[in-house]
Amino acid sequence: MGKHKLIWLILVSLYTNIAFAESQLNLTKGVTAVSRDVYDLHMLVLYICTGIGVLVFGAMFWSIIFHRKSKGAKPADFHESTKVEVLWTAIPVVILIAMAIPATKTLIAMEDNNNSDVTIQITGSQWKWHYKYFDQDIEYYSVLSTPRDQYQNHLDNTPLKGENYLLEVDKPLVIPANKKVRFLITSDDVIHAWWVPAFAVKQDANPGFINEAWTNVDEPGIYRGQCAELCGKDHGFMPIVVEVKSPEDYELWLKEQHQRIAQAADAEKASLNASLSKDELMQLGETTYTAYCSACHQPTGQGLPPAFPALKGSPITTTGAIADHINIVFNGKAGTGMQGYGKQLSLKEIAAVVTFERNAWGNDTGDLVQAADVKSAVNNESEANDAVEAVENKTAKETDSVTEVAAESTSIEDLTKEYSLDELMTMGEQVYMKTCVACHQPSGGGIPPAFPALKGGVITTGDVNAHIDIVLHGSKKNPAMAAFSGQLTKTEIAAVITFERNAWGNDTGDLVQPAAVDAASAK
Amino acid sequence: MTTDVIKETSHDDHQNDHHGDHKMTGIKRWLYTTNHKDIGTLYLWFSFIMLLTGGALAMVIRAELFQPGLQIVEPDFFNQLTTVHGLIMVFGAIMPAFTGFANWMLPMMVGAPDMALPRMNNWSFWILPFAFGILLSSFFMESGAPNFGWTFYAPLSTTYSNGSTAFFVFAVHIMGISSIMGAINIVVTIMNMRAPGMTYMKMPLFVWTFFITAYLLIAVMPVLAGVVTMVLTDTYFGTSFFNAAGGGDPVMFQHIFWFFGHPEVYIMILPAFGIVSTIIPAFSRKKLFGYSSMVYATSSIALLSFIVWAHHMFTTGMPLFGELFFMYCTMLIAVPTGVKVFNWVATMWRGSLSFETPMLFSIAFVILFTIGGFSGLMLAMTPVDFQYHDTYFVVAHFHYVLVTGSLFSLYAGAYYWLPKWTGNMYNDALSKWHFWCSLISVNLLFFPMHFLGLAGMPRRIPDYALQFADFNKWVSIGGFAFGLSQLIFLAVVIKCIRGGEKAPAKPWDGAAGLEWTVASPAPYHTFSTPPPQSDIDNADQHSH
Repeated sequence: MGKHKLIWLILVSLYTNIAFAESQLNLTKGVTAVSRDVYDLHMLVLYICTGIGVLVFGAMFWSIIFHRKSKGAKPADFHESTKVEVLWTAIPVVILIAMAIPATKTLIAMEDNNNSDVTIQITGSQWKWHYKYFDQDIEYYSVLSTPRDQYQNHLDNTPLKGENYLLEVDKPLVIPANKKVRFLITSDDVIHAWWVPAFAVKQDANPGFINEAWTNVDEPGIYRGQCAELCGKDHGFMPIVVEVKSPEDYELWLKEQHQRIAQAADAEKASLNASLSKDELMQLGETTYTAYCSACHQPTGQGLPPAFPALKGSPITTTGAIADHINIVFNGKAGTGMQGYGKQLSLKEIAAVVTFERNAWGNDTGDLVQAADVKSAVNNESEANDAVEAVENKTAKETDSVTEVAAESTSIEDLTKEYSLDELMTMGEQVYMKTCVACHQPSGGGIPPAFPALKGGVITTGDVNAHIDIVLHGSKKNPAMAAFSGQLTKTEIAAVITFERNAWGNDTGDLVQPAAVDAASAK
Repeated sequence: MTTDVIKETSHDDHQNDHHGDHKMTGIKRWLYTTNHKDIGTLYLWFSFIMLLTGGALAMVIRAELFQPGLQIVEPDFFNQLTTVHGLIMVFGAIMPAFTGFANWMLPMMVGAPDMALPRMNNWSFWILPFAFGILLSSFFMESGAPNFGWTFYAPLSTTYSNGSTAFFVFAVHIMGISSIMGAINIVVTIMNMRAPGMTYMKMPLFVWTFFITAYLLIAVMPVLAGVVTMVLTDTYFGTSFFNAAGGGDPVMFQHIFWFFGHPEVYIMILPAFGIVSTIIPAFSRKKLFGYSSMVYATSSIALLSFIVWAHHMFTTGMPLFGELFFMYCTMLIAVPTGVKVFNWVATMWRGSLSFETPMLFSIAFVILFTIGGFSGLMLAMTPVDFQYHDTYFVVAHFHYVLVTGSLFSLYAGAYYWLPKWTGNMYNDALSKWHFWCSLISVNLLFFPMHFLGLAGMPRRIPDYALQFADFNKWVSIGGFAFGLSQLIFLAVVIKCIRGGEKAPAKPWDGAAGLEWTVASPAPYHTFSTPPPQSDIDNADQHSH
């Protein structure tokens, strides 16, 4: 008796101890009508189960306490009663029906995919998500942005983990609030599942089939989820981030995206005529390799055989034809985990990464591959022909249509507006966390020498104009530092520069306004 | 074949003349044995070794998940660990352990001299070590062990597999053949070898649950064999059963797998019902309440298990009608399961209870299995399942029913029959240590997993977001403690085999059943002549 009490006391105190820790204990209520219905249903069943549990376990403990042999209890003789059996068959049936009715209602509502305002195709692949907006020509990949060295910590010098460790991506899915957004979900390889708890949406992404789901979010904000179906090695590293914007902000965002696509198309065209030096190619190649290839083929190029073959000393990267190498990178290799990167990387990046792979780790072929080579190699591949033409057509179309959009969007951005230091710092931090943090790190310490420290750096504490120039146009010395004039608005650039000049103890007190950025970019 | 039978018969005659223990000695005794008790012992030891093996894998998993970040294993190896842990626990620990109980107890409970098909019995055990040898050897190969989850969803296990698929498929085939042979043996024994006068409705409930389970096995193991074969040919022979590009369907894999998989779940729990239905009346000193309703409830659960498989697949994109059908059918299972729990409570009600270790494990079983049943009911609700599916809530659910359910019932049964098996009483104090350490640590291990799942932690991930860190630490500590506690059981069993207080033929005053009418330890051959009708009537759990 005493023993039982003690044990239960320990158990209960253990659980309360846990409960006091700062962890979420219950299901989220979420931010949609459906997610709240689901939460209510969850609570209803939980209460019913708790009630039944109290009754059944209560009766049991009553026996355990009062009907003990050690207390001289004599066993009763009853062992059958049809009446009782019928009763405890019928009562649960009634309770179940009471539970099934609201569940059915919620389910019918969840499965009503009609009359959506926005449709987005979501494609899972090992191990990232691809979002494609219908009727918008906007599509992009969304990949984990937590730096690798934050989770690969069998090395001792693990950097501090960020707040959204493993739940942060480079480009979140952006959807409007208070609109019915329909998702068409599919996969390029194995089965994944797209899950955002706050929306109560979890839907498998099946290769070769399209599933539907929808949501209608009340409040703008950032909501996070994860892949929920085992999809191979990095299943735990393909988070989902959804940024819900007010419908106005969403429209603005769409315009920015169009602008960005136009600029990317221009850059792609320009790169066809450009001829990069070996150093430039190797540097860009290494950056690209680290971001896209090293998870499987490893930083050492030794891969994880047999699933992910070594590139070091491999026939593909050394003696094989360059065109074949390009084709594998561009189109992938059927029947293996190697997917095509033609959609994700620019021609220049593919050229760089192929050059890098053919010269790194002692491969030393001396081969140089330019963007134009990639294009011709891919064009020669008869299968890929159609796809590339489509890309070209699309690019041409976008270039036309986007010039006007760009003009429009500049007029929307109010460059004369003066922001306070606080406003700039808040906005700047957001931009930094999205755009700069992967290389320059949350601490501003960078990953020298490739990604220099901004904390106490010459650029962030020296001449303001040089700082603006390098963010706008990229670094001439270090190709890893890209030009962000196409990617960020002038206000965002102003904010992030202000942030960089005042964060981490830089404390220059400098305030950079959009007008200053505009002036610098006009030069 | 005919000569075999004749030889067997004459051998039997010969034995009847002498009534001696004609067993070989040394390793040959175990390799060649056709004795149900020897084979039962082999099954039980094998399953315990597998439990420790699968447990060791789980310890590595919990060590990796002790804190955020990747410290000990790489993600791909982590997936191999979870996959092989699941396969070993399901096919290597729980199922063979129940077969071990069936072998030891069924012939004695129905008053038969042995299992009906003793040579097949030998076969069905001795292919098992090869199955698991093949499975475990893949850890040491270049490809690594299977890494696609014990549910081996296509195309992760086919087109995208790491090369371990062939070994996995052949291992599962052998396990399946072993299970089918074991099940046929159980069915034939129960149908043909019952002592005269033991009608179906006089069989102990233990026998009933194994009878029904054996039918489930015969029904679904061939389905598993079919689906692994399709995986094999998709991977190596260019078929497209589960490949959309060739006209197949990856979701069809899940339908076929779970058509096996859901009855499989009941294969692992119905015998547990049989064991606790034997033990609770014994230590309540009162007959099992509602024997016939227990038989009907068990049969209903078995039948329903065939029409609920797609509740594992609510997020695969089923049509609304399908989701509703499977939700309603699944909820219905709560009814017969509830009946069983109510009957156990009613058996204890106004009994004369004592709390020997088998009873402690049985009571813990009823409570903790019911908690697993509650979370099962929650999971049955399709709209909420969208939130629970593939999270730690599911992991908590099936560990409650399989560990504190099936495994606890196995411990209850082991303590209950150890005196009969070894002829010695087990060390009571040590067994209580085993119980209490297991009870506390298992709840620390699995209860917080509910919270983790509700908070949004997906299953099968090697690393997690920071908000899951606190609970994972507790869960890991519980895991290590639970793992270590099982070594106490090993100590109890070894001590019990080597000596201890001599057990009488019937060490539990409230126990009923023919097994208690023979000496302890049970002689090598029992019931060479059928038991008298009076013994059968006394052993009957529901007198008239």
